[in-house]
Amino acid sequence: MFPKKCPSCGNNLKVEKLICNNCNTEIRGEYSLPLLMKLSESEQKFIIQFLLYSGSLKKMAKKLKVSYPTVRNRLDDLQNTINQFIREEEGDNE
Amino acid sequence: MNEEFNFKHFLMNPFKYLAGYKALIVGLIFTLITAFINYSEKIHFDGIIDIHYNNYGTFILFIGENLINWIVFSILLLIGSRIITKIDYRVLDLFSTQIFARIPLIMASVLYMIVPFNKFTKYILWRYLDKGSEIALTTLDYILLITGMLITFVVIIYVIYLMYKSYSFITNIGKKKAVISFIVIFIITEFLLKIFYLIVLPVNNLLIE
Repeated sequence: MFPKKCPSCGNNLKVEKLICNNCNTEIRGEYSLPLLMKLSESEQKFIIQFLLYSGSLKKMAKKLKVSYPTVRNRLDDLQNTINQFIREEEGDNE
Repeated sequence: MNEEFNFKHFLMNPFKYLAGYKALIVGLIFTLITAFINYSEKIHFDGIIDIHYNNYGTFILFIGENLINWIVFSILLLIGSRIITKIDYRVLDLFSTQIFARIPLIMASVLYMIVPFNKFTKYILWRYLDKGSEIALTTLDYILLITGMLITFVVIIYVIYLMYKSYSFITNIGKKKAVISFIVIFIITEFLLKIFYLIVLPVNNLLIE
């Protein structure tokens, strides 16, 4: 699992170095993780399933053998988490 | 998300697995059976979670009591949730899970068939109010009464818990807001239903004879 939080202090991690596998070129800097990568593994799985079921919560609920509100609540929680990340990013940029 | 069905989880929150038309149909079937038992035993659900014995009423009244309690409470929960949150949810889910939450009340009705609550009422009337003829309670009557009352109490607590769970889960309101609004709506509903059952219904002689 890709680490997102510092194991020492729990703060958000940033990308400092990227390497080209072909020519070993290194790019250094301070890059924030893309928004989707900041999500937990289960949240990322949810998004993938959501796309695979063409965005149909009904179909998703049926396949996952849970009720429609369960999937709906998960989507609401995910929206809140994403909004929180967006607000944090906007705060960092200011 | 893709978790296996777990009966313990189902008891704690059945609405994680069941909502919509399925919950509505199951709830309506149980409501009908409960109304039939209530009719045969003359048990009235004359309030949101009230259970009383009273020897009157047509079958329609017993069905009506169950449906009115469910619909009035659901409508008030709907209004309440719309006031305190903008979260969008399916109205069908709120109504269907609310009727599903009332299913355990059938146990209270079944208990009335086994436990001599009626005999106990007559005993109280004779012993303390000098009404009716002399009546004696046996040891078995006492055991059945205490067990019956305890089970009924647990059933009522569980029904209230399920009603709350339905409301908080379907509307996805934060816990604090959900608890406070649920209690307020519960009290308002009980007040309105009591007015209906004690004043409006008898005055208009609706469904009583």
